[in-house]
Amino acid sequence: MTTQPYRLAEGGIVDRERPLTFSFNGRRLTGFAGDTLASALLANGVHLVGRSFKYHRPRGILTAGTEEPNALVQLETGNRSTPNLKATRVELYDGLVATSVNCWPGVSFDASALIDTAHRMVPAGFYYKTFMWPRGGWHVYEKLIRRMAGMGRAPEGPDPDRYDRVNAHCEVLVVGAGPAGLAAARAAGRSGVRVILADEQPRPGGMLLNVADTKGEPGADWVGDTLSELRSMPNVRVLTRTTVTGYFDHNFLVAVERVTDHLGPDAPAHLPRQRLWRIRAARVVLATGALERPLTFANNDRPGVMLAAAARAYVNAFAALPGRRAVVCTNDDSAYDAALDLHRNGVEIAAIADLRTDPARPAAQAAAAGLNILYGHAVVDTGGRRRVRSAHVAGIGSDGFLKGPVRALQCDLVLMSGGWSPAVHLFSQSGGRLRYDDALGAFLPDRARQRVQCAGAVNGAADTASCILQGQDAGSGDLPAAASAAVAEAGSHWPIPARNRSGEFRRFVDFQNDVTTADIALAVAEGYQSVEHLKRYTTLGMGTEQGKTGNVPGIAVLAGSLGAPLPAVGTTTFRPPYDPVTFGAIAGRDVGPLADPVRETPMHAWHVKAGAVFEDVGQWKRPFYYPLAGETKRDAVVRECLAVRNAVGLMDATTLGKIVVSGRGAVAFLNRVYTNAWDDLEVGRCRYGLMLGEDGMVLDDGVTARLATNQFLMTTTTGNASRVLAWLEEWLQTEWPDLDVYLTSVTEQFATVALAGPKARAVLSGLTSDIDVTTGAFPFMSWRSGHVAGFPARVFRISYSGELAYEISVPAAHGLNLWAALSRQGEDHGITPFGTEAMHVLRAEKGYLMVGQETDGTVTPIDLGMQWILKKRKDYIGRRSLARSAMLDPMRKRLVGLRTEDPDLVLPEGAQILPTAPYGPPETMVGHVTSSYWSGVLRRSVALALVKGGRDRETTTVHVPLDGRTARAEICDPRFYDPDGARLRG
Amino acid sequence: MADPTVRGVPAVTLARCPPRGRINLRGNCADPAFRAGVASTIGTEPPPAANTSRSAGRGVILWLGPDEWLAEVAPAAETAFAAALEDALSGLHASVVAVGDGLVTLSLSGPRSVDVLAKGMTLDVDPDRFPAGRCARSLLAKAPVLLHRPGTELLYEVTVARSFSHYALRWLHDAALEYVQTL
Amino acid sequence: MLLIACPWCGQRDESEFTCGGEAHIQRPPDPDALSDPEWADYLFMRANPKGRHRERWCHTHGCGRWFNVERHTVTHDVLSVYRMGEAPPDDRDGDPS
Repeated sequence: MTTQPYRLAEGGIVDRERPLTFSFNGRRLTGFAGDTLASALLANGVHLVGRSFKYHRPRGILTAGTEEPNALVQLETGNRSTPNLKATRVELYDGLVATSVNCWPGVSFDASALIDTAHRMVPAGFYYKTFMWPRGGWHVYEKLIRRMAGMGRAPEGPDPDRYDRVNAHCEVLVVGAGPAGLAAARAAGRSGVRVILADEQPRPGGMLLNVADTKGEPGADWVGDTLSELRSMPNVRVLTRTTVTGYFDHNFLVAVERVTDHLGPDAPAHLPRQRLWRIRAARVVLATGALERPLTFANNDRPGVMLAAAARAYVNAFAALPGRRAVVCTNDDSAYDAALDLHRNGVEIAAIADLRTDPARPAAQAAAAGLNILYGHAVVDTGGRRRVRSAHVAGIGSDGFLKGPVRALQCDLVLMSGGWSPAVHLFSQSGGRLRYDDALGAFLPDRARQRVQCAGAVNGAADTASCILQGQDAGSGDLPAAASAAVAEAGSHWPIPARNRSGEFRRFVDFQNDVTTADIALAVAEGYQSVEHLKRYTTLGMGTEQGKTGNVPGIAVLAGSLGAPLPAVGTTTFRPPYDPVTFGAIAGRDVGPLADPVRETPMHAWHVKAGAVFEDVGQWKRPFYYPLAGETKRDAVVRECLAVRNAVGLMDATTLGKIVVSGRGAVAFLNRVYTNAWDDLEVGRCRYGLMLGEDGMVLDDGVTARLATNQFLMTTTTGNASRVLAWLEEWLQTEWPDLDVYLTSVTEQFATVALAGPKARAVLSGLTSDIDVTTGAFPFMSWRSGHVAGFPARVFRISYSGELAYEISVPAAHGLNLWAALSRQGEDHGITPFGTEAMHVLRAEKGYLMVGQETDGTVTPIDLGMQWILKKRKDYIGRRSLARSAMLDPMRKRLVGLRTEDPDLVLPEGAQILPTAPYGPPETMVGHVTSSYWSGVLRRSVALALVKGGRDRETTTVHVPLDGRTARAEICDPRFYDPDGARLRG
Repeated sequence: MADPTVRGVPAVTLARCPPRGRINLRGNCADPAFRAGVASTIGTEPPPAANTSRSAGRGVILWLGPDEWLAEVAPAAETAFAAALEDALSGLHASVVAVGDGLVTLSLSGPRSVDVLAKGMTLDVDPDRFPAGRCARSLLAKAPVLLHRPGTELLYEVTVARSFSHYALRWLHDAALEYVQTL
Repeated sequence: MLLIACPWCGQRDESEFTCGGEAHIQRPPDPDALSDPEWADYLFMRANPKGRHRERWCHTHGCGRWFNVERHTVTHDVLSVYRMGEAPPDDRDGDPS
């Protein structure tokens, strides 16, 4: 086994009995169970983990958490691979494979790092300036830039993992399980209400996990006790590895639980990899803690420069030493605790440079431990390349300039602490206002807009005791106690002056996007003075970690450049997600066969067995055509059409919308929603109706049958079934509550089979004994009830094919049997199942409108030549709009037939129609093709089109430009076949 | 989440219920004649309280809306009940439509049934919040459903339109997988 | 994701509802009496206030009822809900207009 040279012999949460082997950039290394990838790398002495986004500078591990800007890795390979994960958050498992992102060919030698030596050519906003010449050149540059600036790679195949999504309700949601969050959850849990406690770490405890236990202060024991009490409460749900990423309206929050990420590819297959929680909370307690800020000294980005609290976490929680000899630079007390913890564990502290001249709380302990404290000093530069080798320390005068000599201290670790930024992200997302606290040098939650309280460090509380107190109050629903006294006096010293004033240095503010103090100064000089503009121009805070470490320093530098107070500059808007969310988690199980409901008719199994090709109509699967062996689509459709024209065909029409309209107001209702009159329709008869929107445009059509004096059965098109029902309900409930009408959908109650063709009567008569199917007894546009094949049935004599046809409806449970009975009965007559494509062809041959094909929401009945269906005097929905002058313009596009000069040519639907041969753009376009098919019975193509002037242009030749040529066609009557309708009445 | 295995009882049981007779009822519940007409046929008045059900010897009536109910009866009796209701309510502004063939009921029971439902429903289906005799129309994933808890045991009935039944079954099956590993 | 109190079913998730736009727009009883511009005004013109807005919503995937919601368009606070035919809460004690 390889040794881990920087691993402490004792302490921490790592399990030394469970060594784990992993691979980083091809190197085999060993860590322990409990490690993160970052802590395992540090234990192995690996600091160089990535390259920066723009300059490709070597970068190390800066933090120990979600805020990590540098240590981004591509985890695993193949389709399970995930880009841009933070090494500080990846839990180690055996066999883990990780590689650095953003470097080629490797992290130690990165070809693009040459950019760094030419960095003056790529200042802030460089892509807005440099690559704008020559015009069009951007297309070339963009590809090159994207390759160089890429941040990991998305896998190309389907995701092999399962993802879950769940809705949860609770009275109290506590975000963050540090001392404040644990106390809040405990207080809320004791009241008996439903509590959810969510924390992003594998273990609750927050900062308490990262500090060495001190006597008298709550520590690991307190965490353990509190947790066991929480786990004993059935009303409390503790979610670990769960990041609350978004806070939306009405206390709706979204969290991502990484269920098996920490198990790697060997995770049990039945478990989801991640689970998206959609939580509706009556009340929210945000105990999201605070994030330490870096300091902006020259070359503050070398591997080995780390936030002080992060180093403390690595030593205490993971027993991994981030170095042997450290220089500390701080403007905040907490760095002293880090220095002491490192010192105790054998790290030599070369110096603590405190920017303050008179820190509020003297560093007595550090002094007592013999540490070298330099007040009024700072690190002003660092040396080294792939690892920091020295820190240059100098005094800082009250004028902000260097004072006295600069001393180079040898070290392999530089710790920095620029104070703390409360993690106000979720509070801000919730609509809460922030205020800037001068004493704390930080933005704090101020006025809440939703039912939310903050507790602990996010509220400015500085010590464990006050965090717990605030948590208890917030958990009980009380206002949290006031924060304890501020400890930091940050907000000054942004940026820290450099030792070398020639300008050959860079002080990084945003490590991931390589934004320096000079970039901010340049942006200000160029006029980008609003923080929102600055952000977009420099990309400050726009990386995957959204500027969690760098935003406040960036704002402070901006304020300095503008000479404005920091609160006046303000923050950029905090937006979800707090931490990146995978698409897998967002999609949940709505993928593959569950992506959308697939609706099937009772006859579906028969269609499948018959080899039908299906068409999606809304969510329904409808047979498109039924190809026989060796048949093309066109062969099959022609065969099916000819069967209907010459013998008999049957089609599954179950999907058409069916609505029972009942009540004393039914006739009045139909008169208002249809353009034609319904008073005189006798019981037993059917009528075609056209429905318009109030704007006069065709909405839907269908046949309605009068079942009884006050009861009708309306049919709608398949795709509009639910829309039409909702539309009718809206009118009934909002405009006509006085109308006694009830609507009930029976679409699913009945299976419907269309039986069409000259032999349809013969087939039907063989299957019914109580319905007289002779023309005299059962004429066109009427319906009868009785039994068909032994099943109770309603038979409608209606036709969409232009042939003698019946639609037979039976209770859905009998649909399959009815279909089978009709198939058997029709065998001798050559009965042929036909699909929706044959139906389309048959109706187009007749010039019948298809809603959604000839209509697109801009077509009126007048455009369709259907004036005959418009009531003259009585009102109906859409009538007034048809009287608007623009609707009567004879040059509106109107429905015509198109007869191509070449009878074999089937025009593409949607093709544009020109009045003359094309002469070059811009052409004059007078219409477009709406439907176009090969007609087997006419042995030529047929097409319907909407053309300006409509049938006034009959016999005119128009031109249809196609790929590379132009087709000529003649405008004609859209009724291509049996224009007088003799066949369907027969 | 807690331990997925629950000793002794299957964590989740998903089943398709046998066909039922069902009648969609519309009418004015404030009208005593309407209530009496329904009661004389089904054996109980339609529940006036939103999102509740009432059961009687001959069937169950579920509230669908302020003027809409669903009566569940024996499948063989659907036609007879519909005719009897038509008779009993004749002359009133009411509507009686048999819809039993158009709906399919699935049942989900067991200690983890709540968790399975929560994956697809935004309704609060916690047994305390959704007690016995509660019903509600809502969405299960992308399918419109009628959820009903007929009794005090942890059993939920999910009624969907017939054409959605494959989708709903498949969806629930997939959602339950982590608790049962195989169904 | 809003939480909307259906007057019948109580608090439900926004996903169960459909928004029908501005409330209290009555269909003119005699459309023929309206000029083209007046008709267009009824048909197309809607208020788009910043602040209090009365809308009608339908509990589509619930009880199916249409009702009115008074919503703040900036904060999305639901200020009141009331049934079809009921006067808006502010107007109940006399029409302020």
